[in-house]
Amino acid sequence: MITTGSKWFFGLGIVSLVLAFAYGWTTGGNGLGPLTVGYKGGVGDHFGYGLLLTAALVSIFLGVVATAARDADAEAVAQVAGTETVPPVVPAGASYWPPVAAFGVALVVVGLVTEAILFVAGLVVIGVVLVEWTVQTWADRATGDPEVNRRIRNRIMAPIEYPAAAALTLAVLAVALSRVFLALSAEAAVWVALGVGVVIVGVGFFIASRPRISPNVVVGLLVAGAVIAIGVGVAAGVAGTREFEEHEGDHGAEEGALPAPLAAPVTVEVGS
Amino acid sequence: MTVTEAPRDAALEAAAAPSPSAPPTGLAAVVGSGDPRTIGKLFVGTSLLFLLAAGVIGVLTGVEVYDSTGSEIFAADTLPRMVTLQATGALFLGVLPLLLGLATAIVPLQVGAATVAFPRATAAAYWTWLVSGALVIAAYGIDGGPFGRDVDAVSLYVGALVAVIVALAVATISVVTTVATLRAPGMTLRRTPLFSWSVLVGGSVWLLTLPVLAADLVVTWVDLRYGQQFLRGPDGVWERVAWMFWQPTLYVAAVPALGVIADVVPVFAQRRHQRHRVAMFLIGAAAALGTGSWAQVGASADGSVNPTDWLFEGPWIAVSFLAIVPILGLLGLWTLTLFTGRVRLGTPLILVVPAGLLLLLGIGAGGATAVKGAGLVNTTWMTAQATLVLLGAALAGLGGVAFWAPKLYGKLLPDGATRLGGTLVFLGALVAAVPLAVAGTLDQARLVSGGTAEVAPGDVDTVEVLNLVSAVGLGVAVLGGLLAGLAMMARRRGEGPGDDPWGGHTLEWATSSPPPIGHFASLPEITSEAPVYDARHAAAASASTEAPAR
Repeated sequence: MITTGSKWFFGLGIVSLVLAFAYGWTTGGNGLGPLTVGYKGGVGDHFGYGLLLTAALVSIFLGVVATAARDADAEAVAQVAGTETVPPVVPAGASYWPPVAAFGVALVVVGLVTEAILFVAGLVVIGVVLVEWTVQTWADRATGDPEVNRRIRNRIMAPIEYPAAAALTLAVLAVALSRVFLALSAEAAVWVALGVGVVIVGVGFFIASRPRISPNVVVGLLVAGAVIAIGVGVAAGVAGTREFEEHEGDHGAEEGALPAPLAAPVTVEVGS
Repeated sequence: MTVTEAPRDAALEAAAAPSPSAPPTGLAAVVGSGDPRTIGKLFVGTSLLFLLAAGVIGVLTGVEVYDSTGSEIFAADTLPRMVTLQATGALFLGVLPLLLGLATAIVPLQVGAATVAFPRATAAAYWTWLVSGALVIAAYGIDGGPFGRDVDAVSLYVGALVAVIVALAVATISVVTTVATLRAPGMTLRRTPLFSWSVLVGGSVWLLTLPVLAADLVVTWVDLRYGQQFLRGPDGVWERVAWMFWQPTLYVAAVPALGVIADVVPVFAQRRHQRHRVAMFLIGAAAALGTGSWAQVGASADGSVNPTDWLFEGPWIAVSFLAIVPILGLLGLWTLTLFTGRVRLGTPLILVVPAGLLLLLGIGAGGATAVKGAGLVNTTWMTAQATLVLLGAALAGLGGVAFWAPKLYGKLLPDGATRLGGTLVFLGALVAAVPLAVAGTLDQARLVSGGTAEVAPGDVDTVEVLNLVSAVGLGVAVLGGLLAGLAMMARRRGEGPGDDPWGGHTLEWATSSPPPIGHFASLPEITSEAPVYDARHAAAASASTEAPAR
């Protein structure tokens, strides 16, 4: 059976083929050239002839594909699946990975023209998204119950996500705070460190003391903390480090550190 | 892993039921959404904002060239960059995503599918398009874009535009696959609604075109970053993109717009579309003739010459004239449908008919461009042609938004503001394009390649006035677009619009307004291209036969 889609492609293919022959002859072709793709004669203007011939071949190929796939009609899909009705397509649930992927693409684009580190970071983000997306898509089809699917997904990914998120949080916090400490005076840095410690313990105590606290509040606190930490860290990084005094004779060694090795070997006599 | 071995049938049944977990609300529902209607609305809303911004830039450039002797608004070397920003914004951030957004929201409804083929890929495409579009604009802000002076910023433009193109291609793949594979039982390709058909054929040609442009840009990026030996650095970037705004490639942007018009006209004529099969063929022919990646400015190894061997050669001339045939044929069929029906002057009809006229004028202008002796190539005649086609497509898109507003927003758009907005867009497009076309006949070059340099001294004043009138026209069109946008944002008054306020023909009118997740509880029998029209008339017929019996 020649389907509607096939008819369209076959028609387009035949018209293109006839046009290719006509164009080949009318632009200086001779003999059987246009019919034999130049094997028995000339084809005239190669560009137009090639264009039309390509259009013809591609159209005919697509026509064959459309016939084989029966225009992807639903009845044909059901027949292939061996069912009476077409399997329903399940609407996708919420997922935040698509916007994260866009962020990764943006990092790649910006990194290509600025810093290689951004480019690599973008690739890492895209890689993480690919893994997460793949697992989520698989889990979405695991059973018919979205809640069960969510648990399946979490059972696989949570043991990876939580440690990774914790490590990332600590790394961001460490880098951001180190920039702040280096930018402030030594005395101020001590007070800020104490303050940050108190805030972290205080927030932890607040959350722990309220078992029924809304997840939105926890997420809000964490997001606010992350934004403040990154923002302050960036600002401190831009401000630069404080001036450090060079102490004569310490050769870079700090108080309390092990002495530098002596130039001459030390002989220790044991017994007599 | 026993839970993963649940029977598939049971899984499918459960999947059709609503999710037991509460769906996200507020911003979370938007950012994390895989619902094609939500993503489609995001595409539509954002692209309209970009279109308005592009229009404002067009107005400023028009005012700028009012006086060819001095700079009014921009620095002299900024004008070509602003022209390219306007064009890039209008096509890649405006018209294409507007129609794509409409398709993402409406096509699954039209073909009886629960969602698009790749909902999360579509979501990723939207966010990538949005972020990359912002980067394109940011690149202009730091002296980038074509003709920019900062190579890094120009490279950022190129890279971000590649990302925009990839995002548009991914979203296109999703809707094209939806039409190809997710049609409801009984809906053969021949029974596919004309908008979905236009998305299938037009989207297929987009997929043949956009990757070529992306490849062009990748080569440009390499040349920009590594020596600028072949493509003339930042000054050569626009040549790699400009063919998208020339015939025949320009026309393919308008193919889904033809589908919008073809779905709106029969509903307001209250009869079937005349010669549905012929209309399908004509829309397909319009898409096929718009396959134009072969007609682009070439590059020479020495970087000195840009060959355009195809210009005024047989295929290009043939395509330029043949492209008029499908649009003429479709306008004929729509006229026939309207004349043989009982016309209601609904707002969508008032928007799409002028859109069809703009497209006809734009494509007709392309025929004149192909006349070698006319000398219109590379003049503002071509700018006028692009203005007509793009604004025609945008107006058809607005008509589509007004038509499918019950499905998109669960409300009807306010008639007065929408009609006034559409009328202003139509009139503005004419006033913007006609003076530019006339200026083109007076040898005004496109603004990226010289402007009034070639104009005869006696005609310079005339051309400057024409440029100003054109800017005013574009300003009117922007005002119209703004009005229509405000109409979209207006709150719903009173009760909802009902499931089928227009007396629609196709499947989207068989579900509620707005449709639920999953779209359909059950589908009517599909035995033609207008199943809802069939069902309505069958019910009316049975009611009329039962009435005398009582």
